[in-house]
Amino acid sequence: MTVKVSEAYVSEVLAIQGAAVAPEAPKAIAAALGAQLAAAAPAYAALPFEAEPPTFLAVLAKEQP
Amino acid sequence: MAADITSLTLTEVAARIRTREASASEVLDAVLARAKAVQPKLNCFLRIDEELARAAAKLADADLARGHLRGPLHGVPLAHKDMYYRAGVPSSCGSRIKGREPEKTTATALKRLDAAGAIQFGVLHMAEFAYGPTGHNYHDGHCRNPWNPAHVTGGSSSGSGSSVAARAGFAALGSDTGGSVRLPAAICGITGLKVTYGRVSRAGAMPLSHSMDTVGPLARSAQDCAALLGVLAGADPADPAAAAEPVPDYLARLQLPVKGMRVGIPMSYFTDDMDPSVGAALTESLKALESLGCEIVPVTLPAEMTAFDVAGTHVIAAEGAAYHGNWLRTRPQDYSPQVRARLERGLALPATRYIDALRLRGHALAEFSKAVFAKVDVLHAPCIPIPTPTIAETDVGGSPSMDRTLALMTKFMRPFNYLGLPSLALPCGFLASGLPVGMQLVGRPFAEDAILRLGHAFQQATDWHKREPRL
Repeated sequence: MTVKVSEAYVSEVLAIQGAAVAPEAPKAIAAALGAQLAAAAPAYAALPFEAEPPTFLAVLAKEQP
Repeated sequence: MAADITSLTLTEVAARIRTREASASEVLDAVLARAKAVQPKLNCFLRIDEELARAAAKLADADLARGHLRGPLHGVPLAHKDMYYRAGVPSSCGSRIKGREPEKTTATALKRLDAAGAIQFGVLHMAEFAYGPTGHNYHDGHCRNPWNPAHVTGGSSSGSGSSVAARAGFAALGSDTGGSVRLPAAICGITGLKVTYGRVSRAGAMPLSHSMDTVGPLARSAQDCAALLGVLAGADPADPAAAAEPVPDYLARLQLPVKGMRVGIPMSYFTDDMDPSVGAALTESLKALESLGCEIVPVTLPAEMTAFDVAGTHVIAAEGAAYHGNWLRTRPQDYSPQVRARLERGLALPATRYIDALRLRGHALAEFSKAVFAKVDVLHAPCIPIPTPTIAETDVGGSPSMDRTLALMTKFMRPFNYLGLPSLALPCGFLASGLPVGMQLVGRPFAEDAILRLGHAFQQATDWHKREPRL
């Protein structure tokens, strides 16, 4: 799976958060983000609807020796 | 005599002070002399508070003369990563942004060390805002590896690793969000403990990623890490994530047998990109564990290990970017270009993916536990698969393979932050170049006692942790 992140998206999403980035930054950020999103996409897609972030702490407590 | 003192471990020097074989002032003199001697070569201290420490040592000696023992670390001088706040004192966090105003609170970790009798004599170098795996710092100059100053120390707790390895401190606090205790411990040839998420309070420590941040010690041995964890661990109303799990007597539990302990070796992920010389040292460490009566068991890890690593990256990126949002808007020029670029990546991550990374976390831990801890007590893994790179190789524009080298340095670290599991990094050999090789022992949640016990047994049977760099 590939995820293409455009430089325009990166520039705009950083701009609306008030970050003035170096001209070369959006290209590098877009490439890195695309690769990361592709790597995690199947795991995220397999998540059940009900999974909530706090389940981590419950599992952490449950998996003690 | 001074050299003898600085070569002692934390537990040994604490015993000498307690039994009055050495005074706190004598010990401090020896440590200060060593710190001043190595600082020009290693740049591991950001500040040495000589006068304050000398006054505190005199008080500690006076207390002991009156028969008052403050705690297990009475009179032991320590310096810490410059991100543990002390009220009235600025903390730079390795940056140009913080460090001008005195902090308003004292970190719980420092309060607990103070109550145990330790004396803080300085603050240690670190990667800018603890956001870098190598130890580079363009504001204060790079911290240097005591085994070879051309090589990186590992980060972000660079000064903690370098100073403790150089015998300019008996132990130090570091922090581990994506490997920042274990990398410098492994690379500098010392022992570092990344605790279970929530085992030690983070109150009063600089935040990077509240879902991943942990506070942990770097020291000369697993025994010293056990002594420090006993002081540091426990609930804290000032940190809602600090767990209320009971704190066992970690030092006493070191004496329990390791015979019959099942040690897992991963059949995937941690075998990727392994340099043969590093792999050979790890294989030898397994033989040592086997000779202690441990059973070595191959384990198949979940297929989603890479996704777990990336999800951890997403959590750190999003949370780090949020904490730094105001400064990224108002003072971007005050960050080094590298740290600024890392933080800006987090601004582009969709919120849904950050939440997905948090939603995946419980599933990831359950899957990992089912695959690993249903079969073994402890997982054995490498820290980094390659020989320690040089500072130049990992500098901006230093090498075409820089990005890949940095990725390899963190690949085996971050999954355990994401999974919240405790991991002990310790030396398990040296390369022909004279640089140390580190291994990780990873345990179940809150099973620091098990990995410390195994690490201690390993260090009773080997002497890698006793080797000192020539400086």
